[in-house]
Amino acid sequence: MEWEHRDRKYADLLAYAIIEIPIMAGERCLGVLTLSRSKPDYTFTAAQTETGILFARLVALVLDNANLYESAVKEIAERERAQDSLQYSNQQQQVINSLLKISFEDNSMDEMLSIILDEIFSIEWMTISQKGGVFLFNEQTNTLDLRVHRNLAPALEIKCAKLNFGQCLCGRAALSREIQFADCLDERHEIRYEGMEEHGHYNVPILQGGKTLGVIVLYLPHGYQKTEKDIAFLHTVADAVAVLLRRKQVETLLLENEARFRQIVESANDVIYRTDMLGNFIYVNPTSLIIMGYKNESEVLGKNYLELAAPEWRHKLKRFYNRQFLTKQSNTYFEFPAINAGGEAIWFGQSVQIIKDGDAVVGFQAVARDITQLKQAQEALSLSRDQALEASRAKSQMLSRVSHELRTPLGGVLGFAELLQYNAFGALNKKQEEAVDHIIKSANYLTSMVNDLLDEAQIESGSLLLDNSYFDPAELLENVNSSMSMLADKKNIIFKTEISSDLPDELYGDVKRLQQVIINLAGNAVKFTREGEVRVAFKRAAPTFWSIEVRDTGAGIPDSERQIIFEPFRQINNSITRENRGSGLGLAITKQLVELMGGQISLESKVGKGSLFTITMPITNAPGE
Amino acid sequence: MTKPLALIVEDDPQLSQIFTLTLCELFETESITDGSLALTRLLEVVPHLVVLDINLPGASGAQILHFIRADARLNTTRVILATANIRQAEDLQDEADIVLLKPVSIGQLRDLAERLI
Repeated sequence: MEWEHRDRKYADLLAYAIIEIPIMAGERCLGVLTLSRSKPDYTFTAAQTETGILFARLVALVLDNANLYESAVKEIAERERAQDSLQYSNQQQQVINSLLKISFEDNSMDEMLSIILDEIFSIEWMTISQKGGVFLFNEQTNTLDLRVHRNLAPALEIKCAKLNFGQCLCGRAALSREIQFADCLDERHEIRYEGMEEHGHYNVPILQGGKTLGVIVLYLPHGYQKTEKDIAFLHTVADAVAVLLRRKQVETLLLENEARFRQIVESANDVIYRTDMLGNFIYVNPTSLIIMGYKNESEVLGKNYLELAAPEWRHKLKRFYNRQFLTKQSNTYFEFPAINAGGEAIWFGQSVQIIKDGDAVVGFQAVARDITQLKQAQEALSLSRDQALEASRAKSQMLSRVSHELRTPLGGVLGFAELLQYNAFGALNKKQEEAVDHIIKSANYLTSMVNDLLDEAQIESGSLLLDNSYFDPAELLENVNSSMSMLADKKNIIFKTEISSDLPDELYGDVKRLQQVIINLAGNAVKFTREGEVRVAFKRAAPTFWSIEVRDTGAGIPDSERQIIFEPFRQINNSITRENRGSGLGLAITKQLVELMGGQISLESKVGKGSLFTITMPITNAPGE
Repeated sequence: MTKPLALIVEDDPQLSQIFTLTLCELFETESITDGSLALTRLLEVVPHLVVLDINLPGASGAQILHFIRADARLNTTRVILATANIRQAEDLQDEADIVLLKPVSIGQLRDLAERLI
């Protein structure tokens, strides 16, 4: 085989023979092994060529291994990177998990913030300092308040207790709603203290909707460079914390509300309890136990409400609440006696609401008040009312009996006196006649008093019945005139009657009682009038009313006495003289009779000028007409 | 001419005497103080007038009044009821010819009796 110097690159080597052997690794050519001879005219032997090829294979093998190592190194590096990011995401996951776990724990707000801070500090891949704190926005003071911190200098703890929005890095983070990063103590560190060391910061705002809930402040070593990874992670943490905070705030609000309601329920003076749908107690407030005389709620819980009710009331109670259960009536009120632990009856006035889950009734809640005293008072009242009614009835009966029993002997007195007066026992001398006159006058007075007493008794006991019929008012007035004019004549007083032309010819009412009333008033008028006149007038007061006016020119009635003259047994002081004495029932009976007949009586009077009594009566027809 | 008969049925002796003295000029009077005796007497005589009390021993004035009104033989007999009880007076006022509330005025009784002859 002839080898020539054809290539300039080998010229310097003074090579006379060259052998180039490709270094093959599988199909790939890694390089070329070149063997050369400096001796002229000397070729490579077959054995030498063979060795060369072998060598080239060895080189190929070595080189291939070297490639493998390199790729292995690369692969290792890649793996490490992957592991790093896995660790990052694992830790991130771990932190998020921890935060999630916090939300299920029963911590106070500050305890929760403390745990959050520790979780952040536990992250290994972020070389932050173990120093920092959490600020929360305080709505009342409109400041960011330092709630928890780790390793902050005492001076800072005091100075940073409350920060304004925009103040320092923390306030800036809150205001800008963006993470504030610093790698050194720059001008944004507005709050400083003596001996403050160089440091950097991540200040992470905790955002929720449009609100800044707070700021997480983390310290960094001086010169720390921020990374995208840090920022992304801190955002995630801040979001998770925001959710936790919101949750905590709502929870706190709920707890406060619940505590408030609980306090109301537990400190209420009323019995408040709940039962399941079968009526078994599932909650009773402390007042229930006190009122019912139990020491522990376990003595009551699980029992049926009927067990505490008075046995004779259970049936009624059960029926009442069964009906509420069936009709789903939302609220009821019922009064019943319960039996306390000591066996005493306690009356309750109980409001019961049904508790519904959707459409189904699942239980009852009740507010019950101890009305024992009220009940006792009611019973006492009803008893005393019964007694009073009974007493009033007895009084009326007695009055009616007494007046009845008085009539018979009065008949004797009056009868014999009149017989004497008629000379039935022979003629009387003047003195005897006068004596008989006195007896008759006194007996008549006694008779009228007995009649008044009987009327009053009947009116008071409600046993007086009206005897209504149609009557002629003109005839009534004539009767009044004939009974009164003689009396008036005796006193030299003018007695006049008048009747309006527009008064109906017929009126409906109890004419005897009307006459009694008018004669009562007119009799009084004559009695108390020394001179002048007494007038009785019937008028049409209104289309559906007629009136009876009794006017006199007598003594008059002072204002202060106007009310009491209509009360039974009252007469104006000093008005009783021998001529005008009376039972004191006249006006009381008059008023009561007038009202019984559906009318009204009024009085106008001037002392020294006279009085005007006006009775107003409705114009009615007989029932059914 | 004989005077008409007036039966005075009244258990109170004083009142009975007063009624008798009041009516004796106009009537032949007979006074009875017991209800059942009055009923027995009414079987025998037809009085022109009966002055009747209500609360009586034996039989009540109301019973006697019913008896008189139920007996055709006595349909000319006039009855003046004299009572101290307004309620009873009101209940019986349709059956009696006249009801007088005690104490009865002598003058009134005589006037009324005179008119009933």
